[in-house]
Amino acid sequence: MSREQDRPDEELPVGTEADEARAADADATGDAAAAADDDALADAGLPAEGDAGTRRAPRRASLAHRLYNGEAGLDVVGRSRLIYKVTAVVVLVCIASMLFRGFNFGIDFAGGNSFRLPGETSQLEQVREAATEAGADVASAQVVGGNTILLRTGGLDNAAERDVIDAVADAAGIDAAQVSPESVSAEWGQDITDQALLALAVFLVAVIAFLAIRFQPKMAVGAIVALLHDLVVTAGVYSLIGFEVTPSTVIGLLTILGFSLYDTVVVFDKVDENTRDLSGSARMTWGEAANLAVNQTLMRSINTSVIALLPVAGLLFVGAGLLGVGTLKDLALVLFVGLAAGAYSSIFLATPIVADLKEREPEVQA
Amino acid sequence: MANRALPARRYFGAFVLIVAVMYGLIFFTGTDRTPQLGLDLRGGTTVTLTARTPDGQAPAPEDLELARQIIEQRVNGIGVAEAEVVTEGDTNIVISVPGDDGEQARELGQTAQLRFRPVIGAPEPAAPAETSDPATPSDSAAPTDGATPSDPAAPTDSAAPTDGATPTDASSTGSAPATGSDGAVSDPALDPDRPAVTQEEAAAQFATLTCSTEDTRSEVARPDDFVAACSEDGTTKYLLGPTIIEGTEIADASAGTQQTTGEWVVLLDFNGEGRSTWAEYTAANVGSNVAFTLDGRVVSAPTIQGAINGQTTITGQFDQASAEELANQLRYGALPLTFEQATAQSISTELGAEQLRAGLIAGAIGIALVFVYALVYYRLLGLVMIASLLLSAVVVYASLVLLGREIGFTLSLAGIAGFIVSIGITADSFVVYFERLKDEIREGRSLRSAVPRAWVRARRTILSADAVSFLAAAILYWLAIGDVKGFAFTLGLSTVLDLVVVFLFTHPLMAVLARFKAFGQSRFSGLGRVDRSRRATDPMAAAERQLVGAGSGGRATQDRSQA
Repeated sequence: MSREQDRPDEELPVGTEADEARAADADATGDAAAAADDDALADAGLPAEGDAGTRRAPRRASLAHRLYNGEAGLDVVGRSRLIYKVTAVVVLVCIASMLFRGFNFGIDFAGGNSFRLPGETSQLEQVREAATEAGADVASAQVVGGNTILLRTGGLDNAAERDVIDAVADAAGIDAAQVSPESVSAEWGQDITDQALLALAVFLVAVIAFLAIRFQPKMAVGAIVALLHDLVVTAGVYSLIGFEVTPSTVIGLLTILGFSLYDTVVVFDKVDENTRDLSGSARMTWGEAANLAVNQTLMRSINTSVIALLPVAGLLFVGAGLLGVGTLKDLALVLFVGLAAGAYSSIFLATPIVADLKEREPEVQA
Repeated sequence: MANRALPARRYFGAFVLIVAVMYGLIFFTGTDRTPQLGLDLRGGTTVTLTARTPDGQAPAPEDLELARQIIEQRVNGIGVAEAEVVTEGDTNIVISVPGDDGEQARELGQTAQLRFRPVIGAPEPAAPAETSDPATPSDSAAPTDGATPSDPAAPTDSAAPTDGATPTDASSTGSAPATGSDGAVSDPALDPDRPAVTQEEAAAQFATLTCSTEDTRSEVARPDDFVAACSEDGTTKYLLGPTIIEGTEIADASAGTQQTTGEWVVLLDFNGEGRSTWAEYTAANVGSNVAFTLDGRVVSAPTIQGAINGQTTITGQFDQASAEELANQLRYGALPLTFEQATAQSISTELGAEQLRAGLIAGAIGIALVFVYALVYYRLLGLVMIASLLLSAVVVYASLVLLGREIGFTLSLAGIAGFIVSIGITADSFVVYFERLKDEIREGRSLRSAVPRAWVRARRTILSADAVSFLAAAILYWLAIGDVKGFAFTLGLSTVLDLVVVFLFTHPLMAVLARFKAFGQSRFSGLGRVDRSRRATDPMAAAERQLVGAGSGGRATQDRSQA
């Protein structure tokens, strides 16, 4: 273990009491920094400097085993150009879709009325006609969740809405009190969007400040780029596929940013550890140390993303399957898409950017 | 050994204490044992009104608060139970009415107009709970005093005072022209489906009158119309003439006590133009009644005692509460605010129950999936994760109940979604810890020494990452409106509680478990699969390490969890 090389005066095998006693005094994090050396590189399955890569050959185990033990050998920093190109293409496609296809906004943004009542497919037509006759401009009628009819109409004032409720309850043969109406003014959607944009701006500023203080400003840049990537890709997916955008979508979008950042912080924490005191010794370049960190935390990042995705999958299943529409489904959908994008950006995007920025620093280049 | 044992016990003890205190509070004080449910889970109506000022700015906080109080009075006046009116952000007022009869709450979005109109004829007692046919206008539905349809001058007909705000007798003036005052039907306006009120006037002289169907919930009558209006409590009806002064001319109104008699009065000030109009009118109409109508209903109909050039004093049998209420209502008329109904949502009780069920199922599925994954990936360590998640749930539930009691926190569907999402965050902190543990073990440490070292490194990461989540939740909560607030609150709450569980339970538990060597080396612990000492190309060195490792098992080592 490298510790023995660092302290040539005392060769203590790892695991003995003396070693542990000494380790007790040492700073655990300092040890981690010292531990980021060629041996660690080899363990992670990465080529050390000047190494033709021959050392890796005998150690090839199954991918799962390698992942489990942090030996995946992913060269994220080295392949940063390729990653940038792929990401740029994806982002451009998303932006193009947003510009040309636009979004499918729910009634909360466009304004209008909606009615939910227990019923089934056989009653759909009658209910729809009854609503039209009562004066509503029916935009869509569908059955959701297997047992609920959802009617979307243009804006109605209170009196007209009451008429529609009565007519529709009649047609479906239920009590008027079982109909759940919702009416949203067109300005409400604008209000929500404004608030959301404001929250987003404040969040970004706070994040930059936090990261700059906790780690360093260049890491803040890397994290922000990753966040923007997540935003654009998620919005792009929504636009491409045509999912409905509702206020819950907006909530979810802001949450994704929190998650993605969480993910990125986990990676940056390890990068920070590995690159601490790096200028003091010439063990490896900043980029290599950062890359090593990514590999060492790969399993953790994957686990983090999977574990975050599992409950969301549950939400999606219930939201889409049982309820059909509403808060749960919208939220779950956007979180699902966003978490996947977030995982990608934390692992593949954030660190290479920081490494590239760092390598321009004169002291690192030396 | 003794050194290390104590801290774990201390942490466990602290944790148990916290849980015990919380549940003790729940069971031994107060009455609620379950969290408060929001309206989208209980069923009810939620109406959001957005206030707008003429120049498009946000209203002043005091104005918004005043408006909120007035609307609250109006909501309570409808008679719905447990209605709640709160402000949200700096422009919204949210009215929440549980249950299935929140229809009327939707009406409150209409703009309230305050007007001053002369009372024509005598106020007549309205018939309680009377619904009559509007198509027969001459059919007076006032059984008590024989409403005389075409008798304009009932000079000494003194009606019962309405709400204590009619200070003197309504001795009408005989100056009202022949009006077909047919005693407009006045239903207690508690029933929104009652037939519309109609009024017939002497057609020739009141051709401009157009208010044939009037919903007295909102003042749709034009200022120059004659209207028939009810008093606020629905016991008296009035025939009113055209508007003398609009409520917007009011500069201020306040309640105070008469210096001489000590009785409560309401003081009213008009602005410049209003004052002169008022002065003229009062000078010309001493002895007649003026009605203040709000929302098309008469809140007060005092008699003019004399010409008023400056401040108006309204006397009557006021007590402090009624004086302040009237003053508020008058001031409200002066508010430069209009309200628009931004959203109105009614959830039937069945739908609410269904959504609650769906939310709980989603939570259960999410937790089950995480459990399965934890067991598959971490084996026995997964049990530690599961135990921690369960304890998190216990603490979260207790907080929900207590918060519901203390600050009236209600759990909405978005809130449930927030908790479900935070399952991921909570589980993640364990992942961070366990992966660090694997790192340490990979470096060749024994489990016992790996745990505290892993903890020191993991702790920093967990704190940074949770700080980020909390920051996101806090910003969302502070800035957002509507559902988002509930979501952000539960997200932030779970992040904080996650820290509590990880610090006080998970880590001490790991420290305790680490004492069992079998735990670290068993194939089932999830740690046994970790490669140790791969770097050893020399099999002898590897064997030495194993031996040495075995030998150190019995020694006491320092507890580094305090590091």
